[in-house]
Amino acid sequence: MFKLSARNVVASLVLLGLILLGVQALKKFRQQSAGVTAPLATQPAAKPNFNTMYSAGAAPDRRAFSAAEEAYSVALWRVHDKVKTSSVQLSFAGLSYKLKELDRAGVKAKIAPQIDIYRDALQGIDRLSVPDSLKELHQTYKKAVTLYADASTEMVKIADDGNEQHLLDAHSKTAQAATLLLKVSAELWPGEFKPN
Amino acid sequence: MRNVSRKSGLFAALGLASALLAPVAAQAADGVYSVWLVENSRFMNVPFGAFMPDRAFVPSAPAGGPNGINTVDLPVNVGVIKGAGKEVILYDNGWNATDYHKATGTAHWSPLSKQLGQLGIAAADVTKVIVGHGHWDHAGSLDEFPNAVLYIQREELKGIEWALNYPGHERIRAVNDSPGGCARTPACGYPSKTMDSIYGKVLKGKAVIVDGDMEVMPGIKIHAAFRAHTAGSQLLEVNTPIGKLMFGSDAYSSWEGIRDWQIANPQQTDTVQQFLAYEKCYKVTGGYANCVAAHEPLSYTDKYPLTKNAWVGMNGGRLAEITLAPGEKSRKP
Repeated sequence: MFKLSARNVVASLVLLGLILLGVQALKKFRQQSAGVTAPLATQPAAKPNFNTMYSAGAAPDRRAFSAAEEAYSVALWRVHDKVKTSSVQLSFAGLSYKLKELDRAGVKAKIAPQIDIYRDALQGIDRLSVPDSLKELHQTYKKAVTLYADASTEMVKIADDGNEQHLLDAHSKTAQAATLLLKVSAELWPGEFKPN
Repeated sequence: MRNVSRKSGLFAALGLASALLAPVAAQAADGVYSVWLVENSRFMNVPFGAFMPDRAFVPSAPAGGPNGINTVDLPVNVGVIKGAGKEVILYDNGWNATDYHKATGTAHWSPLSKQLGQLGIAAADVTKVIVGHGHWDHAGSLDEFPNAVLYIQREELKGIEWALNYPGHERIRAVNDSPGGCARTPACGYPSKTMDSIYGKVLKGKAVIVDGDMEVMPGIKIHAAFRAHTAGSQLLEVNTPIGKLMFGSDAYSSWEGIRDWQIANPQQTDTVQQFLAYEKCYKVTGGYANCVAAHEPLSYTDKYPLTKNAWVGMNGGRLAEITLAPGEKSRKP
């Protein structure tokens, strides 16, 4: 039988302390391997957390990424940031033409820089180190950018012949690409757009 | 003989009068509309204070009181307006980006085109979609209604394009540079897919770019409400058997806000303009009862009387029959 003595009590307390320290260390190790602290090393600077600023909904629910997945997500975001802005520029180039705010040459001028953005984006995507778990998503994203690249090349042709069929053909590509972008961002950056 | 002739003349005169008046009667019926409200989805557990600053939760406040509610569920309401003829108009359009459901804490979503089936309306029958603004949860199902003509303010497009091309600080942009979300930045809420769909409508000749106020048809009038939620927000006045209704999209995010003169859902919002939009409803409809809100948590309950004639439809999404024009049959099960 266990005998309650001062010596036993001290020994028990020491043992309990060691167990607590062990649990703490294990927790820290798990957080690091799940990539919770890893992104701090890859992000250039801390930025305000818009999640806490915005109104709607519970916090976006994303599974815990590994360090490699998190690093990929951060790296792809830098590409995505330019791609999505550029995709809206494509929409506005077409809109402005249809609303007679831009002529054919204007459309070409507005779209030419977007072609460069997609070319750079595709090169950037190919340079990324992709974890096995995100390879399918990576291909989805690459397909989206390829579609945007093709669409932009198609749109500028209107400058040559004025045939609006180029815009319609391009739009069938951008419609598909936009859906793919949404799919990827819902997986990697679920807080990107919130209800508003 | 004489009497018979007089009677015949009287009947002939009555017949002629009714034949002449018939088009007038039809015209009058054309200007009165049936209205339903459809809950396209619901954003769950939104902090009340983030939606309405004046309703921020205070732990010590009485439960259920103005500051005693921690979170609310916000419906995404779409107005369905049906005329005597073939005209079916949607005010706002919900959304169908199902990949975002988890991210936005969404429940009870169904494709809007299928939800309309519960009212006996096919997607192909929708003739017009008038969006209160272009955010993705209000203009996000345009591709489900290929025959519909989109009505959107030029000012809305200009506002987005301004932010898109703004050369300055990274936060003053149409698109965020933070994976955490674009929050209330100057033109947040317009993802590539939504803008591409709007452009698609324009490209295919299925859009009317509106400049300010506009009478769409008898009994249906757009009122500009610039900066009441976004750069080119617009309200919709609809003539109905219960008087005029005023739809407000996110300029009227909260009906309680209109009633109590509190701002709601401030995004790219000038609060003065939001109050002026509230005032427009009071002036046009004679009060706040007939103001139709986009995200009012009390929707489909007795506490928001206009919407109380409600039932639960597919996937738990709710519907309300607000009013029926003469000759229109009820859709409520």
